Amino acid sequence: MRPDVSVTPATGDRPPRRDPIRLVLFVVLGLVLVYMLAPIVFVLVFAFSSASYAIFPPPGYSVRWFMKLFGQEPLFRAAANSLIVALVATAASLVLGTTASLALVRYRFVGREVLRTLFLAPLIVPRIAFGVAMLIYAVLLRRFGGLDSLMLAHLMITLPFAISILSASLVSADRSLEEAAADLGATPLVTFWKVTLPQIRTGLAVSGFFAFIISWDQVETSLFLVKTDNMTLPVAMFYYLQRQQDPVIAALSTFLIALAVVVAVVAVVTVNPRDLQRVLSAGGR
Amino acid sequence: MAVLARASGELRQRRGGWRATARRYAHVPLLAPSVLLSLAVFWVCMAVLLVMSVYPFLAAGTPRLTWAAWQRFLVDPFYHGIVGTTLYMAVVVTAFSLALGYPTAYAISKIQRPGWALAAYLILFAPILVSVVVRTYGWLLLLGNTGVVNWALRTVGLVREPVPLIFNFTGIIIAMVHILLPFMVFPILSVVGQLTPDLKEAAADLGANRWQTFRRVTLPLTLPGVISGAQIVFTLTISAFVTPFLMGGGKVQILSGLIYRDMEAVNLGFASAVALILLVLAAVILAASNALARRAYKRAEVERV
Repeated sequence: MRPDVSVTPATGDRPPRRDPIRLVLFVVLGLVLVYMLAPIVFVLVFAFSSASYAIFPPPGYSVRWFMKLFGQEPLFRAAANSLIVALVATAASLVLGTTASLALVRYRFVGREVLRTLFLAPLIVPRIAFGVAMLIYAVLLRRFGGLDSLMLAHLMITLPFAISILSASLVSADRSLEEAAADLGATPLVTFWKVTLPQIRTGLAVSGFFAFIISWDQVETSLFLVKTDNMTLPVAMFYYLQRQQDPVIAALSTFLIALAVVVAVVAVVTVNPRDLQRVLSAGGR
Repeated sequence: MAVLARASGELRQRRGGWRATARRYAHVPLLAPSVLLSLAVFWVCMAVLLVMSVYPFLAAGTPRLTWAAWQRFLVDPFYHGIVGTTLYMAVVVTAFSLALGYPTAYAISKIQRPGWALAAYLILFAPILVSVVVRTYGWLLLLGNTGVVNWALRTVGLVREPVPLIFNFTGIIIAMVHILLPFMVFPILSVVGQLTPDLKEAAADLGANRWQTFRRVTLPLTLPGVISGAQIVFTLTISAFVTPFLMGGGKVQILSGLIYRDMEAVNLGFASAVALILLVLAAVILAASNALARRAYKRAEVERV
């Protein structure tokens, strides 16, 4: 931990501590943070409740929902499906996003703006609308219920994010280094690998991270594309909750929340907050 | 270095030959896979949606041209009501997100200890990584008749009977604001972070009180962040499905729920029409607010100069 140095504002024209507006601001902030944490904390509490329905305070505590969870084979298959689909969608959107952004940023050609619009358009299409369209498309191609149509659907959503983030980091990458490498006799491939790629590392990490999250937590687009015996995890949880609300989902959620906390801490500590802000400002959901 | 690079570039161009041609068209193989995939999947999908809404070719029997799915929205007041509820929900969620998000972003920018700022960041950011289904489930647990909130209200003695907070509009708003608040806070935070104290001091020196300073200096300068946050929250709300569906318990009719019911009834023509209406709604709102944002940016530029 770095030493905690409280900074006193140099302007000193009004004492910041006794300021009522400032106090109100911080009270609001405190309440908002409680509000953000509340549902997540109580999911954790209910995972250990002995009751089969949502009652507070819980009549007792037990781990039986964890036992029941471990018997739910479909949920585990769904988790495996989600992982496969998210990994493929992430890898594909990184590769395609990098090549497409390279062309869009480094080359001047007719129709560049048209292509950019063509790539980014999926961002404004409501997920559930795209889900309907993908179902019809999958049925037409006789691929309904397969993981391949899911991967394609997720890729269509994650690719625009990858392209917009990677384009931004290519714009800010130093181009004269690439030219220098080319002049020193490096082939375009070597130049890309040794000079360009290291410069867009952060962009790759951020867009890969968000592509994975978007795919991993995708309900609306997957909803109509999955078969009842071969789901993805969020869709399986959605259907489970519609049938019954026993704390099995809470028990499962403890693992998902633990995973999210680890990922969040790593992301906030390693990634520049500005990059996070930029992605969230672009509507990375 | 730059001069050298330019010179060698010109030399390369003059040399010509197949290498130059290859370099000239290097963007084609780079773009081809993404363009083809995007055309063959996304854009064909959009076309299929449009065709399906007037010519439901997957339905039983011989398909024929029909305007029934569109007519429903033009004629039946029930469906006007659904569009109205969807828009109303988005307005309320955006308003609450703004009312909570603006002071939150402002307070975070005022935190002086880096550790606390990081913690606030983390608490706002981490929920995004937890599945929307899990977070909505959390709200069902909190707000139910035997949930925490009603337990607290009863214990304090405010109410005798449980207050209905789920399976209604209130529950949808509480959960939706929770899910979308980070998307309001982060854009505002990025503009608030750029504010310099000198402008405010100048306003104070010129005799403005704090409200005047806020209204005439801080607010116009942060408006671009507010607009982009509101844009994201609004468009995400009108197309949200999971949270309104689970929190509303089928009691509140909105467009995404209508799509789901049409799909369950294997009414693909109707579902496609509703999906397109949702798409048009999102696009129109985005275009309108982009025009608004451009004006706000221009004003912010002027005031900064």
